Amino acid sequence: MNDKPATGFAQDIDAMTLARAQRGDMAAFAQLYQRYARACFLLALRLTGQRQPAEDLVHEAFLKMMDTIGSYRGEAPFGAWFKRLTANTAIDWLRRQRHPATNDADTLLEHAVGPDSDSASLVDADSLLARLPPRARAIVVLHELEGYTHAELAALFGQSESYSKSILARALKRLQALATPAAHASKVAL
Amino acid sequence: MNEHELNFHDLAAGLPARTIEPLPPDLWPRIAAAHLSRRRQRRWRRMAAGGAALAFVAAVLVSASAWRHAAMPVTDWQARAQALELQLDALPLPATSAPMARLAESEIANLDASLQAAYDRGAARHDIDPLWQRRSELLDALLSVRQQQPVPARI
Repeated sequence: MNDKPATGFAQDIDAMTLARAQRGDMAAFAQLYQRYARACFLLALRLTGQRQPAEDLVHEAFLKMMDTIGSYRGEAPFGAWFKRLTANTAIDWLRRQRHPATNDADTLLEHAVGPDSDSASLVDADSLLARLPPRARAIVVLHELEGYTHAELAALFGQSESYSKSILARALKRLQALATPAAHASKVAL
Repeated sequence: MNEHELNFHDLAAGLPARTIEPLPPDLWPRIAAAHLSRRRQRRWRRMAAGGAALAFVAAVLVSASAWRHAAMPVTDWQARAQALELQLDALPLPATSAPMARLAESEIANLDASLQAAYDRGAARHDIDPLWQRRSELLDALLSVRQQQPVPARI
């Protein structure tokens, strides 16, 4: 895990607001939205790579949260619980997309954009991630930025741990090939 | 320990953080409206399910009551009256008829006339049964009286 929280899911929320939300209080839900909407959106944006689906995911994740908050028992911080719910919602979204769902890492990464295709446009970390196919991107984001283990990723994707490890290793290699000229270009531009 | 040497933080270290535009201001009102609409729908579904459950319980109670009513033993008053008549015939005739016995015999005679009339006009069973029931009750009473009356000694 990183020392610095990657997203705002690490923010705390007071017990009173949570209790009110569990009773279905809309004002309490609005407070939860104020606190976690951006974190939810950032994660969704990283996982989907596109703004509109990310907004749709925020919508869906908050609806799910409001429906299921009664089952939240406080074993983990609320932010962690909601982050998992957002990630699960995004994985469901990825499954619904008609992307090639292959168990083979090589075939999956074939759909990535090549390193020689407009690498100068990689101006930030998220546009670097956007160069990966959706499933590989989700594995990188969840493992590298959100601290998911390979065992958790395997369970999320219904695959083996070695599948998750293989996708991650190959995706990172691909990103390395993309990032090196981009970082250079970024420095030159500055 | 990670099996790969690379990690995303190192790769992205040379790149600036992305500037994210804020979420549209109408997103929360849309989410809240969708949630309230779903809540209303669930409430309606619960009410409908509750109504259906109530109707089911009522139907079960009604059919259980009907079944119990149907399962109750039906007395064949005609057969009972005939059996009592045989018991009465088996008793020796009393020396004198008690007033109670005379009253019962008189009412039985009237009932017999009513029964005959009912059969003659082709009355339904539910019209005839009460007459046989009353006849049984009178024969029962008459039997009790006869059993308590002194029997004349034969010389």
